[in-house]
This record gives sequence, C-alpha cells and structure tokens, in this order.
Amino acid sequence: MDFIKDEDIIRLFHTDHKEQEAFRLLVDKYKERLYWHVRKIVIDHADTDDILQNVFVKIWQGLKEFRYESKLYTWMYRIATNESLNFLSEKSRKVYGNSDAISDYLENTLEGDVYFSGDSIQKELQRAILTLSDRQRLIFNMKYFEDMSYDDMAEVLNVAVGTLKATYHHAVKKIEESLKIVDTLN
Amino acid sequence: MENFDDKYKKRNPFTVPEGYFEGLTGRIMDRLEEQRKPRKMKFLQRIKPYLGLVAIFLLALLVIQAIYPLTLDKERSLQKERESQVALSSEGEEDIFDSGFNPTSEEIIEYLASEVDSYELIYAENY
Repeated sequence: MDFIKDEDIIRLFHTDHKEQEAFRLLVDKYKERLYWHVRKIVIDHADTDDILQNVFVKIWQGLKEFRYESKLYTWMYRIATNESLNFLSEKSRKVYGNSDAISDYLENTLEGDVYFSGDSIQKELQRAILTLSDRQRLIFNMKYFEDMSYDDMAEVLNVAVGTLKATYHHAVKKIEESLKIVDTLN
Repeated sequence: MENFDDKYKKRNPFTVPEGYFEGLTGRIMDRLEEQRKPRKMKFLQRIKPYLGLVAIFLLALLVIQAIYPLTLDKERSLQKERESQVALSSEGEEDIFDSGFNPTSEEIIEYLASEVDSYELIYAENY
C-alpha cells in the first residue's frame, strides 16, 4: 500500500465523489504506523483503538483544508500525538485527580496489559521508558522504535532538531541508568 | 548505545488481537459515515430551546403568586385601618353635637345677629 504517493491520495480526495475512496487508501496506508505511535504513548490497546478512530475522524475533517505547509504524514503524526497526550492527561486527572500522575497510570496499564508479548528484559525496558518525562518518552519512542528522522520529528513536535538530539541523548542515558539499577538489583 | 541495541534489539513487545488491523479500515470508515449522517433530533432535543422559556415563565408566575397575596393583605389591612378611623371620627362628631340640640329659625337668626355687626347686614341687604 505504501507505493501510493500521498500527493496522489490528496489529488483523488479533491476529485468529485472520490473522497471516500481516497480516504480509504489513506487509512490503509497509515493505520498501522499511527496505531503503533499511539500505542507506545498510551500503552493500552483498547485506548489506542479509541484514540486512533478519533485521530482519523480529525484527519478527515482537516484534510479539505490541508495545504502542504508540512508533509501529510508529519501532519497526521502531530494530530495523533496531540490526541494521545490529551487523552493521557484527561485520564490521569480522572483516575488520580491530577494530570501529572501519567507515569503511575501508565505503569499500572503496562502491568495489566494482556497484549504484551515481551520477555522480562523487554518489560524492564518499557518500565525504564516510563520513568522518562512525556517529552523524553515521546522523542525516545519516535527515534528508537519508529526510526523517524530528526527533521520529521521536528515537524511533528515543533521542536528544533538540536533540542531533539539533546533530549534523545538524555533519555537514553536515563534509561541506561534505570536499567543498571535493575541489573544490580537482580 | 550499541550494547543497549544488542540487548533489546528494538523489538516491539506489544501485540494486537488477532485480525485487528484487517477490520480496522472498515470500522474507521463506518465511524466516518456515522459522523457524516445528519442526526435525527429527538423530541426532547427539539423542544429544548423552548423549555428554558417555559421555565422562566413558570418561575415568574410563582414569584408573582408569592408576592401578590402579601400586597393584597397589606391593602386589606390598610383598608380596615381607614374604616376604623372613619368609625372613630364619626363617633367623635356624635359627642360634639348633642342629640337634643334642635334650634328654631328665630333662635338661629338671633344668634347670627348677635355675631354679625350692622354694616355687614346693610351690605347683605343691598347686594
């Protein structure tokens, strides 16, 4: 599905009576990538499914006005990121009474996640990632797991490339420290 | 970082329910279709704007009903007060005039003549 260019999908979307067909192509092309992006942020599968549907509804609503001020896929990533972070802050406010308790909420979600197939080492890594701040976690996941370029990340997060590199470097150091502590404990 | 990568191998540890991605496009398109349909308004939703007006009207009616009897009571008590004052004043009049006081016309003329001087009488006769 990746062989269809974004420009062609947009052109089709603006053709009379082809909106649905074009959007179906767009969903097919990006659903998995956006799913994993959201899933890494919110951890839980059911939450990811809800958020992803909202994300595509917003993409549909905004696509008519999309003017290529950024790449289509970084624009969609930005919508997905914002939806996920809003969801988390709302959820932790409801569960813990304040929006700063996100990492506690995510740690509980990770422990109870039935759709986690990783071994104990993978779980250790995920726990270590959850000790990062929201911003560090987001940047680490996008770089380490999704292999996104710093330029694209800069477009998605509206942050300078230099800041992204420094943040990623600090995130890796912090994770390594957390994992060392776990190793010594074991 | 290399040791880090060797150990964790960038493997995605999360999974999804079987067949999840196959049905995802269809579910998203269905959701969009739902959003695009103009929603039929329920009866309650249709009358909702008028409910506020009715509530305000009823409230105003209640306030008027609560206040009006008070002013009516006040008016009634004022009326009673006035009536009792009239009754008192008429009683007073009776006290001033003796029931046996019934003068004849000669007595009245005589009384007036004693009270009025002769110049006044001449003036009254000529004009």
